Amino acid sequence: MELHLTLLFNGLATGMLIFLLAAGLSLIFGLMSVLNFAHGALFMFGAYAGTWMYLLFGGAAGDYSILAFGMGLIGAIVTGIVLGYTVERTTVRQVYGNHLRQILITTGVMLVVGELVMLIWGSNLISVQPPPAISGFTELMNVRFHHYRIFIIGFGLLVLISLLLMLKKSKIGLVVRAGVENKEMVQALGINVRKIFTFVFVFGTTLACVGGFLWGPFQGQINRIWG
Amino acid sequence: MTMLQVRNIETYIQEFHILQGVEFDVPEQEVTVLLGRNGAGKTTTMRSIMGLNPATKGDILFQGESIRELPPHVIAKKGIGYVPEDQDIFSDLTVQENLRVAKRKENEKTEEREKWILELFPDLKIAYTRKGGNLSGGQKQMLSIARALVNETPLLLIDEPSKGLAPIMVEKVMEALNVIKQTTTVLLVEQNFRMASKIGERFYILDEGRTVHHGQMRQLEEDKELRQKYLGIA
Repeated sequence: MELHLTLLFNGLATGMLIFLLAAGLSLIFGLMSVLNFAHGALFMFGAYAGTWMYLLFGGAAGDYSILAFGMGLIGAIVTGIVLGYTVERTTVRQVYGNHLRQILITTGVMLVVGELVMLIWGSNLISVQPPPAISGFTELMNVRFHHYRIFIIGFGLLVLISLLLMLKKSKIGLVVRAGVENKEMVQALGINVRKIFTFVFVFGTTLACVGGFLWGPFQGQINRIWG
Repeated sequence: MTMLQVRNIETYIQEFHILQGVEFDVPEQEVTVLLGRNGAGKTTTMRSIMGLNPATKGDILFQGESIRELPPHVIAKKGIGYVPEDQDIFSDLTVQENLRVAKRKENEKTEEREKWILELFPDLKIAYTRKGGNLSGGQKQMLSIARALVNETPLLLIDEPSKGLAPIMVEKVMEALNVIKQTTTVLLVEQNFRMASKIGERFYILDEGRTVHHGQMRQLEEDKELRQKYLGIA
């Protein structure tokens, strides 16, 4: 029983992190039919950028507080927005509708982002731990429920609910769903599909970057081979 | 005043030269009908006006302004509503959501227009929360027209509204178009000559991508030879 509960709990936490990565990839492919081979690299870049911010603020204060962790999270979000916007505008936009070119160009982006990470942060592993406020564990029925994993499950659920609400209830969500079905008709209704594409790509990249940042303390380190 | 002027446009789809000189005027507050056999270029003309298959030559003027090189979303925002041949409603969205996607602004004006549309198409009111994919062919056509009208639309392009519909639904759509034409200029593509002649005021006949004849609908109703020659109907 303890084993099953432990496995279920850990599986849920890992699943939530994979969900953050996969949701972006799925949105980008679903709406824009873009095969984004660089998604893993963007995930890794988000992990490095967010962790760098977390360690910078945590190290400066000397306590790796939840506030520093929050700064890391904001860093990952900002990185996702900037990176997603840049990649979409400079590369992906040129190859809409051509899968072969998408594979080639996003593989190129993957290599460039990987090299950028090495250039900025070097090739060594970076150790990172969750802030003390969400470290440790609570033991119930002989099962250890790690607080950071509880946090990840909660965060993932929050993202999931927000995503569902956005897609089901908001105007932009409806436009995204309509665009998945018929891009041409959406344009004929007066909606700039390119802007929607950019939004979705940026959103998907941001989810990947946030997922990357949260993955670091989960693993205890961030690694260049993630991308 | 002329709402839309199509001036000698030429359009390619891949390497195929589909439109080779289409020309016509759509006067304000009238229903102009594009007629022609299958493959004459009627749908491509509509798509060229909307910028979905942009014309490579000639010009398209909407309220005096050239729209030939504009992207489809800008053309739509200028006030051209488009009802495509296959309706193209969003089947995963409900009727309400389909209308919401189409609204460029969510304000009192569009709410009022939606109310008016639902009065015009009571079937849509009944199916308001039903998904587009679960509607009947007639309801899909009504929704497609409703979606094009939910914003202020000086010009409505409708491509074959009677296609594939049961006669009772054709009657309902026709009734609605008779109301719509009182406030909106309409460019209609229609194979059903009976319907076209009841609604339309003037016609243009396309053949092999060119405008080959035009006149008042009354003339065409009386000219059996012309109908036989270009439309293949007695």
